[in-house]
Amino acid sequence: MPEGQVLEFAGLSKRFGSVLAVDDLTARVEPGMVTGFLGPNGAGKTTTLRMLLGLVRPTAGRVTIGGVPYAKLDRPMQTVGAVLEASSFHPGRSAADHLRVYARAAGLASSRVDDALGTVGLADVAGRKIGGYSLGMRQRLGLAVALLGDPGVLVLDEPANGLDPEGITWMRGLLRELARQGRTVLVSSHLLAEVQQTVDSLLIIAQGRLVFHGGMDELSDPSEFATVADSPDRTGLAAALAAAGIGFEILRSGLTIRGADPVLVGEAAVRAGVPLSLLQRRGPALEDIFFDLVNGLRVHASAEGAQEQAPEPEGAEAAEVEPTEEQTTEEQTTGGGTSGAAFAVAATGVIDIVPVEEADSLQDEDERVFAMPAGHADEAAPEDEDEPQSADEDDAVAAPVEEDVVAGEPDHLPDDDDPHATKTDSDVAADEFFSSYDHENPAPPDEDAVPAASDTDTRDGGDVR
Amino acid sequence: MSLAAATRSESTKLFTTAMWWILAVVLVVYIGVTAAGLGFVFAASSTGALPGSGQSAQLPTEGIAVILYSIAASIGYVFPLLIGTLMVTSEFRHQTLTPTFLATPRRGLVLWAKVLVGVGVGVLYAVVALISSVGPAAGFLTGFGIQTELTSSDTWAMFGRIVIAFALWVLIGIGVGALVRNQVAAVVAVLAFTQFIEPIARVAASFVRGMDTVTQYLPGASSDALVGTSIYAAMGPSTGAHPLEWWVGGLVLLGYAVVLMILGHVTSWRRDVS
Repeated sequence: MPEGQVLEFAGLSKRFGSVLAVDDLTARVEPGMVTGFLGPNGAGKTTTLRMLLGLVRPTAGRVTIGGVPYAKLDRPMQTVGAVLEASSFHPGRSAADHLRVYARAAGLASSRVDDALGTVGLADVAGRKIGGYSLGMRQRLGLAVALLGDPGVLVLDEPANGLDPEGITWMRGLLRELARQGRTVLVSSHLLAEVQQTVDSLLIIAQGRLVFHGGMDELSDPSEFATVADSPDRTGLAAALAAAGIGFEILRSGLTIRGADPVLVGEAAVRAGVPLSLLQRRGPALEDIFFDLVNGLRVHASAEGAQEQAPEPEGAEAAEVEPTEEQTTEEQTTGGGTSGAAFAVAATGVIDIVPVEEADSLQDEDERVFAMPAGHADEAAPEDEDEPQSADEDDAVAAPVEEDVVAGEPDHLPDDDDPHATKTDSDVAADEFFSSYDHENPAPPDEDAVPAASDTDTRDGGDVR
Repeated sequence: MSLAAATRSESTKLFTTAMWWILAVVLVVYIGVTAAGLGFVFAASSTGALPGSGQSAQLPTEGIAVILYSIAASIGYVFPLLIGTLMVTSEFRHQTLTPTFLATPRRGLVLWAKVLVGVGVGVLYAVVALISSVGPAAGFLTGFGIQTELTSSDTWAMFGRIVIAFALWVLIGIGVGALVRNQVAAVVAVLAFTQFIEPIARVAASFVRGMDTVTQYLPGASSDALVGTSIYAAMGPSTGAHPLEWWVGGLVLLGYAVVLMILGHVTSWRRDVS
């Protein structure tokens, strides 16, 4: 079994002309786990990975694999397997020949070619010219090249692009398995949701700087969690909580108790003999934390020196973030209500949005990707109250949700034409990714009381951890 | 990760796409048709079989065979040049430089492997080109009862020099490819230079006194000097300049290859791959 190696980035920087693509990146990637490498498009992920692989020369700093720079590796393909862009092939060459080219360069037995093609499920089409391959097949072929040398380190740049839902599930399983075998797996993505089920550890960069480095569980603060409870006898529950000295807010679909442990709430209900119809712990959407980190709205201790504050979300340059914000801005025109009410709806409001959205056009899928974080932003709101901008957003997003649901109208339909009119590659990838859940867990059991909402919650991570 | 492994990889790379045999087929047709046409005309003319040739000066029968055989190089040299160029530019074009450098991070080694494979494919093309030129030409010569000179050691020495010329042309192509990177630009440049610029310069030099001392160092002219005879030299007006020694021509050609490859390596091959 090949040994996993530690990847070490030390003060790594890369300047392209006047653009500092990677800025003093220092991090360690450990073997035996899947590490997600996240950041918006243009954050410097690909450049960093290319420096790791010796394809791009760093302007400053160094990056090593088990202490050795890539160019000095004795047997590079047997040490590191890399999946970069899915277009590195001659269209007139067959897949088997493509692999043979690199197997020979690495001095590998030709049986490895068949093994690798089998692993990625391309054995049946190995003799076909790559030019006729679909994007998903090309991704698999790229992975086959990476696996050729049975390396202890795997580096994948946006591997889910172009894969169908089944392919994404398969890829996740493979990465987990490779990590379990003790290999180092570093996988980049611009979507947290895409990797959050797969990764154990996260590196997040924005504008070339590291903004987070740590485990998934370190991403959100426990104090940001709230407990939502409901009962057929809501007054009884309210009384029980009041008796137990637990502060709460009454929402349309339940009671929200900030910071309290669900166990305490449950105990209070039991003591008062009030039956519960809902008891759930909710945290901020991880995707939201990700956006805040990327925009500099939130600073994590793991990334010292990345403290540039950007209090205006509109100032964010991240491509993925924009639609969310545009939406927010537009909704502000119709927005109303108090901050408290906004939070109230938002905490449960997600549920309300979903049935409307099940009108499943791709456009809607697209909306959903961006709409969810906007809705969920509110859950983090109480902690962000020192930032008036965030509070405004909460009002803006939440209030229309309620109104619109009553009217049976999705609140974000008016946006359809502008921010999402053109789909980027990442949008398409996101669509595919999210739709995979519809296949995977048609009815997840305990996520939420409302079945329609359950996949939504999984999707944006509102309830994870 | 050794030169042997890299060379095996490069030859697999070259022979697993259609480019090499498509170019070879075009080479066979181009040289074969030219050798056949000129072989017929030369042979018929020198024996007085062409109508009207009685009035004009007849071609001497001596030396016809060698001139016809040398068509392989004097017309065919663009093919090894093209394959050399494509061996490198297709890596840029199809972004296969990424997996190539991942498998062999020592980039100089990759270039050396291309040089070795390039020499091999140059020899292969030379043999194919010689068969294409000698076959039809010798056929017509025999038909008109002219000496084929295939028993002469000088003829075979020229064949050997044509093989060397082909190998050197592939290396020049590799240098051009590494330097230019863009496949279309490189192919256009190669064709424009070999088919228009240099022939025009050489024709012009035959009219301008002293200019041929410069033009004889052009790559095509050096190649002709290396081979020792050329259809252009045979048909063009004699300028009285002393042609280069064959080995000087060879060294000039090698010089072009080395300079282009070093420039390509320094300015482009070592650049970031993104």
